[in-house]
Amino acid sequence: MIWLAWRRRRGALIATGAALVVAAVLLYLTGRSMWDIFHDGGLAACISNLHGARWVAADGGCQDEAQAFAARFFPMRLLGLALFTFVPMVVGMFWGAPAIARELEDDTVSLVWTQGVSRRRWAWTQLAFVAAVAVVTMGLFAILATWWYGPLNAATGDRFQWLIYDQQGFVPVGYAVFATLLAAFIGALTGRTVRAMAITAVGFIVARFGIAVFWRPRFMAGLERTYPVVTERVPNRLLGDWLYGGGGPGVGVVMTAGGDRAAGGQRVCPPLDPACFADIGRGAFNLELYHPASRFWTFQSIETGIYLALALALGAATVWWVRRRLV
Amino acid sequence: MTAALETTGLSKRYGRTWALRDCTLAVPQGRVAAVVGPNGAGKTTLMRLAVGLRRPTRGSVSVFGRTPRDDAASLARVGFVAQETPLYRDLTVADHLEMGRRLNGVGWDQPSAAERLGKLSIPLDRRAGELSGGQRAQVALTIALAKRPDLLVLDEPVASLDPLARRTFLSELMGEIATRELTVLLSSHLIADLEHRCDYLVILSDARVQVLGDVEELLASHRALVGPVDAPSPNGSIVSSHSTDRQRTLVVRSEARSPAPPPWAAQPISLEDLVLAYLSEPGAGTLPGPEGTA
Repeated sequence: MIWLAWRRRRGALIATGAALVVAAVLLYLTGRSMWDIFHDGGLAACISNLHGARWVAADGGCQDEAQAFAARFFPMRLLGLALFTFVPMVVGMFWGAPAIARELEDDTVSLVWTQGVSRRRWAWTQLAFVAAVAVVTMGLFAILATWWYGPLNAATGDRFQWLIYDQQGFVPVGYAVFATLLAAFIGALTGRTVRAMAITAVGFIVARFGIAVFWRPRFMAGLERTYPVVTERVPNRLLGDWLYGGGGPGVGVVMTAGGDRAAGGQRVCPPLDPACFADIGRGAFNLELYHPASRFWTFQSIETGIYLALALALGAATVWWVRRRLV
Repeated sequence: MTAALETTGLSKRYGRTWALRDCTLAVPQGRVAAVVGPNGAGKTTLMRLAVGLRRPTRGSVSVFGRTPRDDAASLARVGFVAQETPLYRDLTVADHLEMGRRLNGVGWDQPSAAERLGKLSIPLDRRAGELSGGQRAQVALTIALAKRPDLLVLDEPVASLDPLARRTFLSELMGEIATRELTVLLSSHLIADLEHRCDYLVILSDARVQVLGDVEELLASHRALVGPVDAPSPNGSIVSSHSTDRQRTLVVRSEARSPAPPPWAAQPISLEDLVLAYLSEPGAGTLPGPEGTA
């Protein structure tokens, strides 16, 4: 049964391997230059001298060097965001959608379902095969992407931020397996490959958006920290804490001494510049709701687990449908 | 002896349309049963139900006493060739044999399958997508036969073939059947294809079984009567009636070999005429059982 699953997909495997090689070459070349400049430009040494301090001087903390680096590679970051975000979805559409739908379209099911093998075994083999392809393909890509993002993570402290977090570590593998089994399930329901691809794209984006925006911040209780507006020390942004609430993505809020919300964002004023805090008063403070950078892998594990559980449920539903309901 | 194929009240509905209704039949082992009927009469539905590819809406179907749906043990005894003879386009002929070997295990007869394809000069390294319709049908039949089935179900295997390929395929098939202990269920909407090849007949019409029985018995119990156009209808049940300007031809069912009532002249009837007579009169029917007619 595995032999048949493999034999039928040799062409697709070769195409996927070729696409992966092209992606690897591009990522290596662009990533190499980022890493070189990160080291040679002195940013790596500067960050290393901070020794992971939680607080840094308001005018220090390698901010100028980091901002220069981030600005230089801003187009690269945008490109990464635009392309990487959809890789798991594309893997799912091209590997999951035809897994069962193509056989229904060509009626080859009437050939294979009348051999001496049960539908259950047939269906699980198809699903396991495409899921394994998704794991390997997306796993290799995610390893490359994680390496590629290294200098950008260090220079922006954005590793935990929405969309950046989603492209590193092992959570992309969870997305890809989910997308693949979602596509296979819809393919079994509709019996149409192209339709399954389209519905998968919509379903994947909805699930990803919903879980990332509404669930992810609640995986664990967030921490709170405050510091005065008039200050000489600020949190070390390059550590990579995830500020997820308040004034918008990645920032906190500014509160008056009485505890009222004054503005979104962050306000830092030197003590000798009263004009800077005249509008909110000397006692105003910054409030930040955040998940510390140390939770990155915990969050990745929780989210990957959620997607793998969804994928398993979709797989079971597909097999049930193939055995009980299909034609 | 258990029937090779037995159905009881078998019905299948797609949406609001019944593709098959109250189909009760039993095909005894060792028979070559023809399933005929116009397009859309339910032939494909019956055959797909018989090999477990479809699920009955009502009623039951059994193959050698077992429900075939998703049952590897009973599917191992069944060879099926679907309409359009689907194969994996990107796989070679040899790949298909390898698939059959891996999926069917000990029952699979690899040497005879390879020999059969060699005799038909079908190249083993050719991709299925590059085969002609006739070659594809032969490969599909070879896969079905290599399972050494006890029941062979062929759904319009020759529908897409030209007349010569059709005849070649069918005589080749009959040669195979003659050498085995095998029950065959073969559907076609071309009755001429089945004449002299089948010994059991199922006529489906408008999703129902219209006629069912042994071909010889059916031919013996029916005859054509030819008489003047204004002759009074004879006693007995008339299946169909056709008139020209001067004469009228009836197909009648009469159990006894009695002489034809004057002015009618009796003639024996061919299988094709018998089938056409019933197909032209969907209301008429002959089913076995206590009441005889339905």
